[in-house]
Amino acid sequence: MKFAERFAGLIGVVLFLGLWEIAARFGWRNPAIMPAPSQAVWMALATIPPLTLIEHVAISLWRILAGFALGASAGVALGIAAGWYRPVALISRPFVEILRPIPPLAWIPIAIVWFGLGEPSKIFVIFLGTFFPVFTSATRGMASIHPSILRAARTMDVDGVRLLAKVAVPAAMPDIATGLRIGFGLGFGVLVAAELIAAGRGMGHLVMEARQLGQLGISVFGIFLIGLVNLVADQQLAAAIRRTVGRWHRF
Amino acid sequence: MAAAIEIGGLAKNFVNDAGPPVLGAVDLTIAENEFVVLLGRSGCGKTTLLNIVAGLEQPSAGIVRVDGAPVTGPGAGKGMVFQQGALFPWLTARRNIEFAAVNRGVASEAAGKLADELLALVGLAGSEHKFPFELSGGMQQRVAIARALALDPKILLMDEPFGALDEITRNEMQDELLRVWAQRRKTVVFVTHSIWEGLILADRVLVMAPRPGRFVLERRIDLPRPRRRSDPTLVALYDEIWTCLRGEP
Ligand SMILES: Nc1ncnc2c1ncn2[C@@H]1O[C@H](COP(=O)(O)OP(=O)(O)OP(=O)(O)O)[C@@H](O)[C@H]1O
Ligand SMILES: [Mg+2]
Repeated sequence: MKFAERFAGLIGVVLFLGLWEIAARFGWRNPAIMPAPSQAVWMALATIPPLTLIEHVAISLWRILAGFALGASAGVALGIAAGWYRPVALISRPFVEILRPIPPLAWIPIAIVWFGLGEPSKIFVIFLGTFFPVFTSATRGMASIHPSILRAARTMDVDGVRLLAKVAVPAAMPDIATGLRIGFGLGFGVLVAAELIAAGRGMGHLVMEARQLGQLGISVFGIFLIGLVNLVADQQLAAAIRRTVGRWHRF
Repeated sequence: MAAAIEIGGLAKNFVNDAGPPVLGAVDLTIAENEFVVLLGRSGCGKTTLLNIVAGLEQPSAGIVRVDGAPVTGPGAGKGMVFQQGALFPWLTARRNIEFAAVNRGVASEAAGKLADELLALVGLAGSEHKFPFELSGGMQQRVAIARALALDPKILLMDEPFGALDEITRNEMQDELLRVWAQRRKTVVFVTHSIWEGLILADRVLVMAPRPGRFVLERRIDLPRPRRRSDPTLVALYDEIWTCLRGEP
């Protein structure tokens, strides 16, 4: 992105925060209900020790990465298998189609029963958020490989597992990469909900706990923080995709 | 001259296709190093015929022999160039060619050398590290030709390889192909919609008619290459082929 375009985006952010700030400062709303952004940040930094803050971010990131790693591996592996082997598709498709529209949050009660109140239940919910978009994109990627690519490979005596590993999977990589990015975003999206499950730490916990204590400023700060961390993480993922698949595919 | 390809009584019906056969009992013998062009309107079965010869598709009846042996599947003895989109987009030009060479058992170092040689042959030295999306349509087809040659096939099957190119590039590619063919003699079966393309390239032109797919006209062209479109023999042949194609139902 050009510098001028980035700058334009920055104007939008500054404008939005500025208006909010003014609205809150001039008593347009009760600060206990709608604190100004500057008050929110100041309040959070004054109340929460820096190390605790880092801990909140780190534990959330760890849960997301664990849930994402599991969901992405399962989604990619199963999606590729379903996109390539017809029996796998016939068996897994209806099953996935039934579960896919269910919001990951609906699983929280079941997750607690299955996995308890510790880390596994939170990771499970993020796993669900990640798995389905990754699975769907991988399957679609495999199904939409240009037939000439597979034919050309067969004229080179490439078939069987080699055809799958050396030709079909690389050909489906752009769709798989897109699925990973969508899956990561959705996994992050269910984080706050996952951390409602009796979490003692984490960014989602920070938001909820502050609200219960009536420190709405800290909740607002927590939401900013989640957005910011997500933005940075997503940028890293996008950059990794650009460096690999992006070298030969225009997204 | 020995027969490179023998096609006998070749018929094809697709399973879920109720119409008349796509190919009905086609016979054709192609000599070694002969350049044969198949011409015909869209849907007359040219690609189907080529795919069966390549071993990518099974015939409903009849037989194809390459060098006397029945074709049972695709294999490195038969190189194929597709209309477009068949290069591996995740590999550079050079790696696309290496991939083919390695699959016919060339050691990776020798494959790299072969790739450079073939890139030079098709006039692409200097573009070896480009990915397909960074190459023009004409350059992509040069890589596709080089890749097919990397299999060192005895026969080269080409399915409208220049069909997606503009006329200027297309004419240049025809000259290029003839130059390459002069250096590495192959038996070529070349499918096209363009009558002129057939006349400029072929030792023999076969005109196909649809449903059932069959040959309705066969003309040998013994003129030396490069040929000029103004050549009276070619002009007369053009009229004859056009009349034949237009006369179809
Ligand atoms: N897999 C298939 N299943 C059913 N019918 C098919 C299949 N492939 C081709 N056909 C039919 O066979 C006929 C010949 O197709 P083919 O692709 O061989 O034609 P073509 O001469 O190569 O046409 P074009 O010049 O447009 O490429 C067409 O009527 C087509 O609809
Ligand atoms: Mg065709």
